[in-house]
Amino acid sequence: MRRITIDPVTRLEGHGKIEIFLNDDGDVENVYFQVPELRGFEKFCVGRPAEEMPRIVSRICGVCPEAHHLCSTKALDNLYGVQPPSAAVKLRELFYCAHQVHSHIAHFYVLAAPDFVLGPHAEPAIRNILGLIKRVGAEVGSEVIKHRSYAQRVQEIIGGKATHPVCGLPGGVSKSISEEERREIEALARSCVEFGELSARLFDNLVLRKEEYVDLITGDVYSSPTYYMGLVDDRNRMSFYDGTVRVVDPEGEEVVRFPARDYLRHIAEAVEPWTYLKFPYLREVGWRGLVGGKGSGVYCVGPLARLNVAEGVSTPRAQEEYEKMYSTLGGGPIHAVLANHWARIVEILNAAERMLELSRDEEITSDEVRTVPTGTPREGFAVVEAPRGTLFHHYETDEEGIITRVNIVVATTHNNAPICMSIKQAAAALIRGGEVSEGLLNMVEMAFRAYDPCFGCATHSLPGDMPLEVRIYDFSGRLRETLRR
Amino acid sequence: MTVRALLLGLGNTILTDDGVGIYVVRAVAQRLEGEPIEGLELDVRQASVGGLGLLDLMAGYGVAIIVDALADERVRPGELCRVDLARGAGHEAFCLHGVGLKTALELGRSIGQALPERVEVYGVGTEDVTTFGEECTPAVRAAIPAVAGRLYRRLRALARE
Repeated sequence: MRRITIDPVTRLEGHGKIEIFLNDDGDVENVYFQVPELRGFEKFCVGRPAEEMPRIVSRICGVCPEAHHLCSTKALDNLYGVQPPSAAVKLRELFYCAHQVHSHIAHFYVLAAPDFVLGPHAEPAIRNILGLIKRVGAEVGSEVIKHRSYAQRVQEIIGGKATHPVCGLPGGVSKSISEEERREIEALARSCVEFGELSARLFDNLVLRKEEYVDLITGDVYSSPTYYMGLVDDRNRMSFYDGTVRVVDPEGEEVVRFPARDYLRHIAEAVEPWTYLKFPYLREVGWRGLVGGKGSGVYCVGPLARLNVAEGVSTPRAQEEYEKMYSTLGGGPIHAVLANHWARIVEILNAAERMLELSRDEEITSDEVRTVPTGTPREGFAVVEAPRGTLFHHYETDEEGIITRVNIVVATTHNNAPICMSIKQAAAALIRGGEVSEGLLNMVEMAFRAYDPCFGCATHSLPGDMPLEVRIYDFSGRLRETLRR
Repeated sequence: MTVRALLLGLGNTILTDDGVGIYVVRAVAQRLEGEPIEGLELDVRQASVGGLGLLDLMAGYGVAIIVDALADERVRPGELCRVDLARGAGHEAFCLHGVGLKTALELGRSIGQALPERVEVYGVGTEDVTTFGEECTPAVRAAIPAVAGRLYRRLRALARE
């Protein structure tokens, strides 16, 4: 078997290495990605008071500390059997919408847009955010940086710190916001809605009006029909902060809906002999390996999955964009992996509009932001939609509230199988009979990146900005060739 | 003229050696309390962000000195080395969303942000940055005072320039 290694994947969190195994005919047999695993998390947590968890978990990921912080806080609500006051729930949601805007702006403009604006075949030296700004103008660049800061500022006002928030407490949040802060948030949110509009217009001009890009998005290379999982509210609209987990099949039919506490009843993990990665799948359907379709329990989470499981979004401008997306790419669940980028635009709009709504809510400055928990702790479950997809936190404690067990399932883990499948598809289209076509790296990268995978991102990789590297091994594992760009 | 300088320690203090940049700047800050440096208006800060997130932290300073953990087999645990941004080495600290420091700086400057004219990046070699833990490995821990001393001297030299 011949082995090709792509290492590291540029423009991704932490290290990522892709390995492609070829069979005797030189065609793609298996594909997997490798990341350094962070070790000892459960051991680190066991023996600590549960209330420390929201601050600890916000440090396990440098990209979405807010998602972990909030999910952990919700798990504590559940652990202590306490319902936060309505104003606290609204503050948490407002904070969380700001986080979605912050995260999606970075992914869309820094990681995704360069492929479309500069073209998927452009040199990596220019296919980046700087190249993008040269093409679309410095004003757009300023708006990107400005609105990222705006979203960050909203998180700072509510979260107490610009990164690594400290606001979440079981039963509520640590502080209310003043009228002055509310007014500031309202102004920032209004600007973020306008920025969402700008992003939708840019996407329309730069991507949708170019037939080749629409063909690329809808083409077979990047199409992957699977089950989809995401949170919905009581009207089946997409939800970031709270709701019911809904799963639909590749035709869009609901298969199951469940609360966070039932996650292990519906999700199981498969192992394959050729990788240490575990592959979550739907128990109801079963594991058939890395294949899509209705007969395989592989499911996908993330922006596109969220919209695929929902019947709409909660705000008007985002709903318009949502309808446009589904009418353009063909109703029902969209299986085009690259449509995740469009889904992020819909979600930037939705999160910004919701921020604005919440900033105008008359309850948002209420002082009643905490219900003090009095229950005896035992087990707590929670789910939120992190920017990259569904996130579960599950803690067990003794009756003093000291952690005895921790389980966290992150978006990138849910997506392990779909990511491998998408990389394999892209690789198979470009490797035939041992011949590796030009453009392999770009095409594989695009498949990978659409999921915005986030590995133990606490790992540093000085020096950064490394070029992609492909290593080709022969049967015996001897390095035959190294390709760099 | 007094230089406005930032000494920034980066890392994650619950990932064993990953927090070394933060421990180093804390040690420098301690020394500065007893032995302040004349001619330098210095802020010492610690953060757990990277890439674009660094821009806001650096805005307004004339010089920024960044210290971070370095995961590179060629560098011994505890060894301090200067990372050359000009030669294309970027800096992907852990919260990086795809942009190295070099790119982030270019981006910030291209849209007119007031960023330091001089940015020096130092890496401290590590042994383990993937295990949860609140202490560095012995070799890295032992090197912190010496590394802090070298950075203190670098700051003093800056003040004299």
